Amino acid sequence: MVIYSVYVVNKAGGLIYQYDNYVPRAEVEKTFSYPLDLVLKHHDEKVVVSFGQRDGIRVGHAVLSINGVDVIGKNTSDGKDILEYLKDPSNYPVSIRFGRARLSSNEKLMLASMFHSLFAIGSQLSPEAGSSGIEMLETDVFKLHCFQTLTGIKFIVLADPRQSGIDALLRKIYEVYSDFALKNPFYSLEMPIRCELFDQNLKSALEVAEKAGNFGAGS
Amino acid sequence: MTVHNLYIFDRNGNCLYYNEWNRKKQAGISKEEEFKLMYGMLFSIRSFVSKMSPLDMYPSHHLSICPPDSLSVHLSSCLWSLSVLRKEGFLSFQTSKYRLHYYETPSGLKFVLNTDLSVTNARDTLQHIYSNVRHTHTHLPMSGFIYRTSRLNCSFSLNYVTFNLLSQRIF
Repeated sequence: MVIYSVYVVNKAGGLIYQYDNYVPRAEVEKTFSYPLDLVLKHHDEKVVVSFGQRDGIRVGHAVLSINGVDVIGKNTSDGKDILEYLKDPSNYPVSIRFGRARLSSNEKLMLASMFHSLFAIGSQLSPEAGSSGIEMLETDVFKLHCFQTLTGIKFIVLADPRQSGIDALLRKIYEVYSDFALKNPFYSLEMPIRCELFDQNLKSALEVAEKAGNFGAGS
Repeated sequence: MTVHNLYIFDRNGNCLYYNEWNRKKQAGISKEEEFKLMYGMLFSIRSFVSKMSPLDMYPSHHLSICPPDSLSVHLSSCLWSLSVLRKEGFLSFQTSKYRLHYYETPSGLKFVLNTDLSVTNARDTLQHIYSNVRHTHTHLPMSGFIYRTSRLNCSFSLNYVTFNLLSQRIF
């Protein structure tokens, strides 16, 4: 019963705030001997598994660290290309940690803008007049809730599908935004939010919502 | 409880079937463009969901490799594990006025149903439509001459089947 993350999108579709409350990281570390039976490939500045899924290592998982040292993009921490490093039998046995790749801040920006457009298309393709955009999107793993204010700001919350009380949470986040971001004299509208009080109050609002959600689901 | 419309797309994005029962507002663009926009939106939502998802879409695999003491037991456990591991991904979304339900078959056929907000889960309805349409479509005498991705020409039977199903399950 968890709230995963919060995104705030301005009226142009740009991401102005993002907070990850809970990031479940399923990571697997294993020691391999030459030859490596997984097929790896470059994808988006990362090295991902493309074939050879086994033992919790799935297709799409990225290489996170080699021999305990975190990798940097496509290269090891020493700057060597990972695929070249793994082709060399003298480097074995090697211990590699695989896991779901974290979203970079660029990717989060792109996803937020993508959602902004999808929100608008949801309203355009509506079979009923006067429809809003996408307010809730459900998958088997998470539920995405979106609240658009009258000024065009969207508050997006990703939560567990069984979590209740998200509507109240969205209104509360709007209240926290207007109290600690808008009333901050150094904050400019539509710009990224960098207000400490906003962060603190958002975190406590999330804690309250998670606890209240737990009560609601249990009763 | 109202059903607004139903779209069926093949894996290439061609709209195989569209019907509307209770649509109050048109999209303001031609039907061709509307199908493309709908398909494009669904494609983007699926890619958005797979990137945004905090967990992997597959549930964790707890089944160990069982020794094949009996071939049928082994086979049935394999089939069960395949059904359990098949990801569902994007299921539905709702706005203030309607809810869009989505169902994709393993062959890439996409069923999209727009209903009002009182229908919470139309997934089994869509699965029934799929199995019934497949049954009537492949058992028609002319169906051998119709390529799988051509427009579903047996529209009479499709209308009949969907109307029946929807009236039983939703109205």
